[in-house]
Amino acid sequence: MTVPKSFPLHFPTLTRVNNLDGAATAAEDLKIYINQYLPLVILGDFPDSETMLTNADLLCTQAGALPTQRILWLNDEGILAAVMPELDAAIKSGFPNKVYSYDNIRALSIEPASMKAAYLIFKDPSLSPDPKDIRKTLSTFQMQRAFNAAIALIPDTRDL
Amino acid sequence: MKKNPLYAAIAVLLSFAVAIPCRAQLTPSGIFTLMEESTSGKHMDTLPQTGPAIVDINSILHIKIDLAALEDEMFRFQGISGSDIRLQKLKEFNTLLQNQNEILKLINEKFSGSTTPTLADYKELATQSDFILDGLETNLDDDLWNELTSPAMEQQFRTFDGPYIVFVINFLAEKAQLLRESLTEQLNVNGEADSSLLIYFRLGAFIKNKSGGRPVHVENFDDISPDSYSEISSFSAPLSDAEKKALNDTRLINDSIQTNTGAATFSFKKLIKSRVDNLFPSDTSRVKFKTVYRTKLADLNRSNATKPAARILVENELSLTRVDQFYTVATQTYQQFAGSFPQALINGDSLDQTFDRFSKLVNDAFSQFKGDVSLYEQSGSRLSSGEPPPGSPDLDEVVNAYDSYAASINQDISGIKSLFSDIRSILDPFRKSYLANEDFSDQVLRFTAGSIPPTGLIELKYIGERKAGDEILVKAVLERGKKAGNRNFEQKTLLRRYVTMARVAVHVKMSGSVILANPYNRASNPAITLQNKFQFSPTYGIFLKWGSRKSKFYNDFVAFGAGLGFSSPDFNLDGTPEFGAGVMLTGFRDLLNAGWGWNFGLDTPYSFIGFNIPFSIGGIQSASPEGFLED
Repeated sequence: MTVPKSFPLHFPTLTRVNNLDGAATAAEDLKIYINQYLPLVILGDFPDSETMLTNADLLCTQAGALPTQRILWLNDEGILAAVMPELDAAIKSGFPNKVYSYDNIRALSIEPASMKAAYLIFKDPSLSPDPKDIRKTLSTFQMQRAFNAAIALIPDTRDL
Repeated sequence: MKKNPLYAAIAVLLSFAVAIPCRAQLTPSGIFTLMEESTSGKHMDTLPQTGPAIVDINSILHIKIDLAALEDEMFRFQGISGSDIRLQKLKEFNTLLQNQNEILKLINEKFSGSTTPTLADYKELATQSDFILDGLETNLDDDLWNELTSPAMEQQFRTFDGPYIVFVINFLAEKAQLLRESLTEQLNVNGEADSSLLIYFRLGAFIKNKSGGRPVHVENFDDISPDSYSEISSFSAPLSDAEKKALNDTRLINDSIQTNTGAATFSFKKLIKSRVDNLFPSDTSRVKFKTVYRTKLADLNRSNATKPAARILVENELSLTRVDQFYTVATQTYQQFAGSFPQALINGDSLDQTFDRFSKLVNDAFSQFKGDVSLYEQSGSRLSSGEPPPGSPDLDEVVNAYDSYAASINQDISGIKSLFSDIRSILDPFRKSYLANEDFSDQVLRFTAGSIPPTGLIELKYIGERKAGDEILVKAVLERGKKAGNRNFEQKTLLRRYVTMARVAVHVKMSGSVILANPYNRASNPAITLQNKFQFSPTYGIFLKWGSRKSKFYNDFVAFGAGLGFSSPDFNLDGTPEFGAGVMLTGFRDLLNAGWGWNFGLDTPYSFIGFNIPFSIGGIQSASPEGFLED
C-alpha cells in the first residue's frame, strides 16, 4: 500500500490548506498532490487571504465535501514559476478552446484522474474575453463551484 | 350501402367508452405533477396531464408542486401584474430553490449520519448544488451578487455551522421572503396583512364513487386522520358461506337503503308539491281582502262626504300593490325550491330570508294602513257631533279583512319555515355528506406564499374502504380570504383531476363457471360415447389477472386472465364424472373463458369454451362474473 506523501500546512489550524516543499521539487510534488487529492490550486497572494483560506478549509471539511478535497495555496515565486508549465497544460487540457492569460488565473480546480483543469477563477475577470467569466473572482462562492466542477468530472470507476 | 345494426351498436358502444373519461377536469400544465409509486416502490411513473389517469388500488399518489409557478399564480390572483419586476425575481428565486429540499435531504441522509456516502452521492450533491450556484451567478442582479460575495458574507460563513450550499439557500430564501412581503405589502392594515385579502392555497382529495364521496387524507396538506390500513389482497380466495351470507345481507341492506332513500326523496317531493299546489291557504283571505278593499273604495268614492275615507284606501293602495308583487316573488321562490329539491334547501338560506322579508312587508303595510285609519277616526272626535267621520265603518271592515289576511300570511309563513326547518334537520347528515363531497372542510390547511409544501402524498392503503373503479379527485384552489361569506372571498380552481383506482398489479382470482367441452379426437378413443359435439361440465378456475394503467375500457370490460381450470366431464356417459384439468383464458370480466384440457379418466384431450353466468350445474353454484355483484 502506498503511503501518501504529506505536504506542509500554511496554518496549523487549517488542515486542508497545503503548500509544496520547495521550488526544486515543486513540479514533481504537484503531480503527486493532484494524484493524491482533489485540489483547488490558488496562485499568489490576494486580499483578505486569512478569511478566504479559512472558508476554503471549511469547504473541504463541511458535510458533503469529498475526503480528498484540498487547497493548495502557492505564494512562493519560485514554486509558482516551477509549477506553471504543469498547470498551464492542465488548463489547456481542460479548456482546449478557451482564450485566457495564465497570468490572470487566480485559482483552478483539477480533476485528478485526467489531470484536467475543471474550473477557472480569475484575478481580473474583465480581462477574460468570455463574458461568462465576469463574476469569476476569488470568493467562497466560486471556490465551491470549482470543487463541484471537479467532483462532477471524476470518473465513476475511481475509488474515493 | 346496407346498414349493419351490429356495426352501429359497436360504434355506439365504442363512442360511449371513449366519452366516459371526458369529464370536467382542470389540469394546468406546469404547476402540478401527479406520480404513482407502486407498493413495492419499483414502479414510479408520472400520470398523464390529460386523459384517463389510472393507478393501482394499493399504490401511493405523489402530488408534486412547482412552487415557482404556483406562487406566480398566487400573486397574479392577488392582482400583481405579471410584468412586476419583483414577481419575476421571486419566480427566479423559487425556480433556483426548487431542489433545495433534495439537497437538504441528501445532506441529512447521506452526509450527516453514520452511512458512508458513495461517489455517486458526492456527484449528485455537486450537481444539485451547482444548479443553484450557476443560476445565481447567471441571474442575480449586481446588488445581490455583491452582497452575497461581500467580505461581510465571507465573515458570516466563517461562523456558519453547515455546508456552504445551505448558507446560500438561506440567503436566497431570505431574499425570496422579502420579495413576498413586498408583494403583499399593499394588503397591510396597521402593519399586518388583511387576512380577508390574503391569497391562500389549499389542496385536498376526495374518494368518489356511485354512492357519493368523502375527503381523504393528503399528507402535508390537511389534518384529516388517515383511515384504517386496508390493502386489497392480490389473492382473492373464494368466499366462505358466512362471508357470502354477510355479503348478501349487506347487498340487501344497501338495496333497501337505496330504495328507502329513493322513496323518501319521492315523498318529500310529493309533500312539497302538495304544499305548492295548496300554496298559501291565506290566498283565500287575500282574495277576500282585495275584494273588500276594492268594493269599499268604490263605495266610499261615490259620496263627497266619504271621499276623505276613500283617500286613505287610495294612499295605501301602493303598499298593497307592493305586497302583491312580493307575494308573486315568494310564490315563485317556493316553486323553484320544489323544483330543485333537495339542493335548494342544502345550498342556501335564502328561502327563510325571502319569507322573512315578505312577512315584514305585509306587517309594515298593515300597520301603516291601520295607523292611517286610526288617525282618520280620531279626527271624528274633533267634530262637534263627536260621531265617527263618514266612511269609518267601511274602513273598519277593510281593517278587519286586512288583519285577517296579515294574520293568515304570518301563520302560513311560520308553518312553511317550520316545515323547511324539519326537512333540514332530517337531511342534515345528507347535507353534510353532500358538502363533503367536494368542498374543503377547515381540516384542509390554508397556505400562504412561502409556506407551501412541495409535495403531497395520498397513500391509497390508508384511505379506507375502496374498490376497483372508484376515483380519487385531487383538487387544488386559490382562495382570497378565509371565509366563504366574506365579500372579498373568491375562489379559483387550479386543479381538478380524477384518478381511477384499478387492480393493475397481478392478482389471483378463483371462480367457478360452466364449460362446453369438446373431446375433439373422439374417433381415436372408443371410450368416448358422447353423441353431441359438446358436453356441459362444471369447472373451477384459478387464474392470474392484471389491469392496465392506460385503458379504462380494458379494466372495465376486457380484463383478461390466464390460469388453470379443473372440470368434471363425463365423456363416457357412465354417470361418474372424470377429472379434467387444463389451461384457460378468461376475458370480459370473466364472463367468457376458453382453453384446452386433458381428461385424466379417459386419457383424452378436449377443448372448451365457458360462460361465467350465475346458475348451478352438477351441484356447483357458478359465481357471478367479476363486478356484477359489486354493482
